[in-house]
Amino acid sequence: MKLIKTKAIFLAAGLIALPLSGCSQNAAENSNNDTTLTGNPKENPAAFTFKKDPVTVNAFKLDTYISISAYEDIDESYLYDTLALCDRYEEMFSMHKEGGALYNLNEGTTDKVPSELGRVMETALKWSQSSDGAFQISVGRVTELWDFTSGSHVIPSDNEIKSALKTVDDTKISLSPSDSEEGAAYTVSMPEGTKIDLGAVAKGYIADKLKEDLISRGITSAVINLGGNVLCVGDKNGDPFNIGIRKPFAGDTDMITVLKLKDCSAVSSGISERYFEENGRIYHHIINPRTGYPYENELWQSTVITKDSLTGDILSTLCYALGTDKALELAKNTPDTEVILVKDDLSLVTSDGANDLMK
Amino acid sequence: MTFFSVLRTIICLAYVGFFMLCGIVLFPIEFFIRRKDEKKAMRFSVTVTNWGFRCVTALTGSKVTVKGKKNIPAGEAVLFVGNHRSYFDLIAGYYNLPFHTSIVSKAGLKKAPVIGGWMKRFKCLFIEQNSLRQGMQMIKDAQELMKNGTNILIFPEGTRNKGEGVGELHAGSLKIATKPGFKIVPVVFTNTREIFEKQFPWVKPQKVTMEFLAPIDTSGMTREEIKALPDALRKILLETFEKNNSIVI
Repeated sequence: MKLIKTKAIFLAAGLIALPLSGCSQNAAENSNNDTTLTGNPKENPAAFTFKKDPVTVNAFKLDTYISISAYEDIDESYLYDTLALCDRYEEMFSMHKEGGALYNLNEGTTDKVPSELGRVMETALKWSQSSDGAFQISVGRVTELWDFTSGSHVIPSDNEIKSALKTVDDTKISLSPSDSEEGAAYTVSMPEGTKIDLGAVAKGYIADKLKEDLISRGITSAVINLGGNVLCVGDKNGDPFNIGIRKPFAGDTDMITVLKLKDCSAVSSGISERYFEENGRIYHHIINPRTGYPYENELWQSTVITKDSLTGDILSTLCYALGTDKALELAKNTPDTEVILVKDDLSLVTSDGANDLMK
Repeated sequence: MTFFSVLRTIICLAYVGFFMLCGIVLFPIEFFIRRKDEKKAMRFSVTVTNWGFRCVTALTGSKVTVKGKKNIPAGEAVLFVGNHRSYFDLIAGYYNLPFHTSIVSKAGLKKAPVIGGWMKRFKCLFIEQNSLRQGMQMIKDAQELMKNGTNILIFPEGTRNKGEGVGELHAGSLKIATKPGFKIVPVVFTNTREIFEKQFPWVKPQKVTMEFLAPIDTSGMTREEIKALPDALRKILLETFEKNNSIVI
């Protein structure tokens, strides 16, 4: 018995060692004695540069799988420091993290928010105002009822939604810079009972902050992927990054199109990510703040390409909410913004500039 | 490295050891089948190899998505041309190829314990990478096999590409198809390197994509077309590689 075991280990070790030796030998051969098969030696060996693997770190944070890949000669641990920033922001922006800044504001224990949260709310409120109520951050009570985060898949009753809707009104939220000792913090005034949900905003801001952190530490070529939010830092050795747009309701590697992006953000919002079906209807997580029910339109997914991910995140939700025509109009009127919409028959509708991004 | 990847690696290694030990029983069985029916013996060798490869892939926790299978022409031998970044191109890829497909591999693999033995038994071709004469012989052997209806899988980059993308293709390896005018089916592997070599020696579960592309008919190709084929093919492989390697949102 013992003999067999030893033999097995020996064999296994042998198999591991063999490819190893083959590999190094191969590399040496390759550089000295190339293209023996072709007969004619390679004319310009420098023309085919082998790109190095990116350094990638993954984690489950922000309720999704996130990753950062850097095309630089660095150690993984260098990226873990950046990844760790997510935790701080998650606590600040989450509705559900007890003791976090937004949680405390929603619970009414304080009306002061840190400057970062204040600035994000200001940006979101600006878009909410121009969207005429199609996109609102005060929708917290309603999203709490639907509770897509826990995946309980229960349709709230009409009465529950009606009473929750009474608290939804972004126009009643106002922010004013307050002169507290901590510096530029904000004071928020909003009606009692209103809950703010930054689910459609926060990931964009966090992605922007991660990019800032990477750049400040000298990384010029990387991709930040926060599940639905992709932010490119620079390019890939001069080439653009390939960002695939998921085919809704298909396998997770199925793509409907591929974008070539440099130094910009792409954010997708769609109904196929968090949804459930009941009575032949799809209930998804993009809630209409005016009715309290999921949006019902001809779209399955909207992807927005912008310079910064915060705007991209807000606009991807907003474009979905607006529907095809208004979304295209919005993209036309907003500088540096392209939109790619997937309709419910899997056809693509794109803004003028988006075609150039697809090859 | 996390505890799980160490455990996974140990399990995979243990399985490889077990697979090799099985050879003690399986090689004699193959020998007896071969005495009666050579074709059956070959099928047996392929089955055993597929079983080994399939289990190793499963034990790494990886999932292989095969796309474009309808691009493989039925009823004729084809040359599968793949990009090569990892041993897992073969391990995760071979069992998804139609029977019977022979592999062109480096001579080093011939000497690999047990697996080399199985490969010899289903007529794989081994190539000394620094011998021109032997290379020509290999091309002739491969053409002979294809005439008898055997598909060939070759990685024309000649060696595993240590990074992203697709390296230059050796024109010689495509001669297998171009001279007699067989069809070439490009096959693109994505995420195979990420299973093993990238964080060597630990294994990590990955979503591997293996995509067959539209066949290229080499019969009736002009001299210029054949000359341009390696670059054109590389471009085709690279394009799909980049596509399948993109971050999906």
